[in-house]
Amino acid sequence: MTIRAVLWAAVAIVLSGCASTPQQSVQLDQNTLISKESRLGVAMTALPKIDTHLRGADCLLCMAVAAGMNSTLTTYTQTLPYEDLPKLKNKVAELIRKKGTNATVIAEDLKIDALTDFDPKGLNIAKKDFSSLKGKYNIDKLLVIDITAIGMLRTYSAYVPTSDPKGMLEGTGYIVNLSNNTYEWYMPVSVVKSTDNNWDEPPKFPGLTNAYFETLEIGKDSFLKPFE
Amino acid sequence: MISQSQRVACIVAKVFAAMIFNLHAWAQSDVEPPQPSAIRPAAMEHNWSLLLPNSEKVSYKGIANFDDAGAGTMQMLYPAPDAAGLLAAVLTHGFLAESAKNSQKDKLQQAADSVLTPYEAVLSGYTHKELMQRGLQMMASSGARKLVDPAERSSADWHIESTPVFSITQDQSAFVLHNVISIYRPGAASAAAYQYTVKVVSQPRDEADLPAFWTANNGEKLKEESARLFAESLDIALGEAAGRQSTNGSYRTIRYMEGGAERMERGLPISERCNRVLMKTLRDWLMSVPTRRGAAGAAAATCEK
Repeated sequence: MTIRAVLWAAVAIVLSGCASTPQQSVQLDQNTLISKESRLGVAMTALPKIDTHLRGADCLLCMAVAAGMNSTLTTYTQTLPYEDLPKLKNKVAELIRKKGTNATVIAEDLKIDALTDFDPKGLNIAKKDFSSLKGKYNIDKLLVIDITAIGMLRTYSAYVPTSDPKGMLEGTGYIVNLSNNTYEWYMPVSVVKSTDNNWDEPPKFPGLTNAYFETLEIGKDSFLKPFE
Repeated sequence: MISQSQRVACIVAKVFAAMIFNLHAWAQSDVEPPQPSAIRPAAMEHNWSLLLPNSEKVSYKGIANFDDAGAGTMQMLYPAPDAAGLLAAVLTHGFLAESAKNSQKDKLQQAADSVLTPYEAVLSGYTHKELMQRGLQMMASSGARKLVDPAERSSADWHIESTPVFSITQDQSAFVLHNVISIYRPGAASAAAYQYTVKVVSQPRDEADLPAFWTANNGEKLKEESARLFAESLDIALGEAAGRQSTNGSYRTIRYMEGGAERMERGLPISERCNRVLMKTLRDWLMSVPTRRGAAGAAAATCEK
């Protein structure tokens, strides 16, 4: 009986350890941007490789089959450009400066994984400890544009595609107050655009290419809109 | 040295890959629109005739959005006692998934087509003959032109074959024309000298009651707007055939209005005038779109034909 209780307790601890509450959106308080004393750094993480994302093909053989099925599209997708996406932080900083805040663009890519974990954890508290960046960049707050996936998305159920490929961009924008490591703005962005016609047009996939560039524009607009 | 199990795994992988690739190929049932032939100057100042299509009624549909189409990621456990059973299970799954995808797209299109309900009375009486007669009168291109039945085509004239399909935006403020245009030399009945796909998006209308606006006076505004788009598509195709249009610059993403919604198209700009852009798209289609909502005052008067 005791052993069974211990086992159940262990299972409960493991399961509760796995569960983490996803960070909810935090609306931007426009007063944050009109404080002239506050120094805001604007940074981006390194852009991910432009690629096809075949979600749902989870077993090894499924992955191989899905990758084989989409190899022509993948090869083509990897040739698509970022266009002016790397300059997104400059555009965001420009909009913020118009509101009166002293915004500095951080030229180098931000390496979030290199930061230590923050403790305590809680609602609207960043999981990583950003405080070390306060002195490094001489800023009070940090605005981060973290684009995590870009390219084409196709969903699968094991071996079988359940959707046509579509243009996609995913990421998050947030502002961390470096004095207490809390989010003053947090906005997940997920853009998916389908073609308006047949998608399977190798080797140049014009319909999907158009969807990709449409996704890119909508994605950039999503990060800029809160500061307009 | 490859072991037996590795060889089997390799074969299974190849079989599955080929099988699913075939499933994927079945899904591509849409016929790809014809691509334009080489562009050479055409003597379009000569007499030309527009051939009446065989179907009588003009085709209209609602603009559907397929961004959310698809079933997402779903886990699947195959009841497979052996390799053959697994193949059969995957095939069945593929067939069902493909049917579900197509059915979902049909439903989305049907839902989008319901926007046409207020216009059914007008559209049921709008024929290609009326559309094309109106359109010919609205064209900017010079040259003698007439509308003829295919049986009456003259071997002395150039001929134009056109397949217009109209769509209406879900907010009902704009129409979109998709027109495949083939141009035949005198005496050539089968091989088109030029073939273009032209897409024209109308300027969005700001009216309080759009169905009433379009359907008033037996749908006069709807018919006029459709004919205007049709005339513009012919003008664009003839201009391209005559070599009067050339692209400038490099590909860029051009923002435009499709009704009240902003859309984007990657294209090579040909001309920009009166808040409209004419471009060549990545599919080599010719596309004329409004860059923003209507021009005001004197500018609008200058631009209106």
